[in-house]
Amino acid sequence: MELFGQTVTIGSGMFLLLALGLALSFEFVNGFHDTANAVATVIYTHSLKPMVAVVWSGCWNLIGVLTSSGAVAFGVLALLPVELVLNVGSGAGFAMVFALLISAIIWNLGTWYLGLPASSSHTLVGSIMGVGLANSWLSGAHEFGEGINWAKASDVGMSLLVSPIVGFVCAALLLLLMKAVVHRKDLYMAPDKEKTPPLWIRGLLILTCTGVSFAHGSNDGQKGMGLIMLILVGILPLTFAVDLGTSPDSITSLAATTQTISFQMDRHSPGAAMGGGEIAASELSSYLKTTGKLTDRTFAAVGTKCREIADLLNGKTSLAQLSAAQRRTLRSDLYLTSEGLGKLIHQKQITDPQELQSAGDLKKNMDHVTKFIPVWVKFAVAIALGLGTMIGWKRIVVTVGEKIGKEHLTYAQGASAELVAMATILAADRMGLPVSTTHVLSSGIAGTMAANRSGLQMDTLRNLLLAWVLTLPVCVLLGAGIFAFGLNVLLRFGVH
Amino acid sequence: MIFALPLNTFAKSAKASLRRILLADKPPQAQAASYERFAIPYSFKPRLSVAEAVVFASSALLQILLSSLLFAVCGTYAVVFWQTIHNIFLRLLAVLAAGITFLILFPLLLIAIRALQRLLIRQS
Repeated sequence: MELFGQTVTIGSGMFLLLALGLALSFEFVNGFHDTANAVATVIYTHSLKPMVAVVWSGCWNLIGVLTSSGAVAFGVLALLPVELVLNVGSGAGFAMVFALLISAIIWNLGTWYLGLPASSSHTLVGSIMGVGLANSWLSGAHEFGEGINWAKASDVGMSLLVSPIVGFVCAALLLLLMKAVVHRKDLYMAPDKEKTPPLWIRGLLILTCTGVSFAHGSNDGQKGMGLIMLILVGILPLTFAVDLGTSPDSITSLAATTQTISFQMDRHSPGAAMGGGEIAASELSSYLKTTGKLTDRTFAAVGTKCREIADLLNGKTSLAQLSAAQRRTLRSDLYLTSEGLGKLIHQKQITDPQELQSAGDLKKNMDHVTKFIPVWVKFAVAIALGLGTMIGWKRIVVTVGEKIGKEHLTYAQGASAELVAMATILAADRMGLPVSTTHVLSSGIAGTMAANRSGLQMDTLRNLLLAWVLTLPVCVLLGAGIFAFGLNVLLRFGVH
Repeated sequence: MIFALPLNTFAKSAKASLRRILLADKPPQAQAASYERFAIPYSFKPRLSVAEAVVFASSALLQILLSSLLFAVCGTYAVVFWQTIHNIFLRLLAVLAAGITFLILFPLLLIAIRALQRLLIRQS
């Protein structure tokens, strides 16, 4: 059968649709798990009717996904072991994708049924770490734990500790500030069941709900997109390995820049001979591991890969002119070189300003060719997330609205918690920190309850903290277990 | 008239007993805090035990896995039919059949898993 212009077996076609179905289900579950963050306050303050709020939030989630850049999607994929990302069409690659999806779905579903607002981002990062750990354990060529991005793991651990404190303190301070500045009694009273709030409060709450929904869509929607792209590249490399819509000018410019950079890289490692492309690829793969160190051959490896890319692209006006094997090679080369240059820049190994500028530009141009997301993928994810948003919101809304504090949420408390959540996501996006909206919002509400002396429901808080602390280790275990199981099953069926 | 009063009393008491046996107690609204009564209408049991959550989550996962598998099988055969059947009428008919098969089996699958879930919950 033919799919997207590439001939595949019926088995591969079924496998592709199964994986796509699971990836969209992951986004669907993500939608109904995380929606409470956005809609809890507008529902509990009667700013919007539940159905209107949920549909509104679903629409803004959808817009968020459609307007997202894809940077987060590929940022998440960068956490995966390099050899699995490059060989995603192998048995191990498929086991990885299924392990990530299934473990994330399991934890999200479990915490949702218990009404616990746990972080979907941490769930996915935990699963990725589990897969990396299992991969390093199962393949004899690695040291145990080599596949894990420990820097990212410590970032996540830190955000796990810091984000609830930030949410709690900032929302409490904002509420106290509001009390000091705005002396309107109705702002600090529990909403009347029969009345909607004053127009300006309503406007503010709807605005923050919109902001949180949009940010959630543009951020969380990308994780599913990244996974779908990984599946498509693995099964249909001819169509999705590189962006076939790349313009002739971009191809010419990429060929010229890679040639220039290759000379610059050679100057960093005079006399370091690189036998061929495969040796250069293995050198770069080693360097890209978390334990990978810069050697005198690293620059030479980047130079060699740049020359190979230039040779492949010279005289081409469209990437469709490349054969299937060439497209796959080009993708691997671009990925390795881009990540290698990124690490060199990050470690400040390139100091010359002009060289730094051209290396940064080249990395960006290379990423345009490999890190692309077709519009239909965005639409599919947006619809799955939007539908999820509209369906499963009640369970966590009840926890956020009723079970954190001992009193009903007031307008001021809702506005403070949502404003802090919105500002935190935007700040975290700018700083590239993996902060959890769920953690910030839930602890923000707890903070406003404490500042208002409304009292906190300790049972709920204990369960929440337990779920947050357990998310990472449980997902690591789930990811590792399912990956090892999947790999064993595939090897038993002779899939390599 | 002579028998009416005791019969009426008996009927009332029997009705009350039957009600106690058959129907669960109403939620103690009077004891609930104001915020608990001031909620959106629940369509689910708000406080689940871990065992119940495990059963619910497993059945939801099973629904997701099997629905994705069903989607994969019906979707693949729809594509195969589309590409291999040259007669436009037969082609549309075959694709429609694949679509209808999915639309019939999908809810049946969900109902079957939900029934299994209810059975497990009742047993636990």
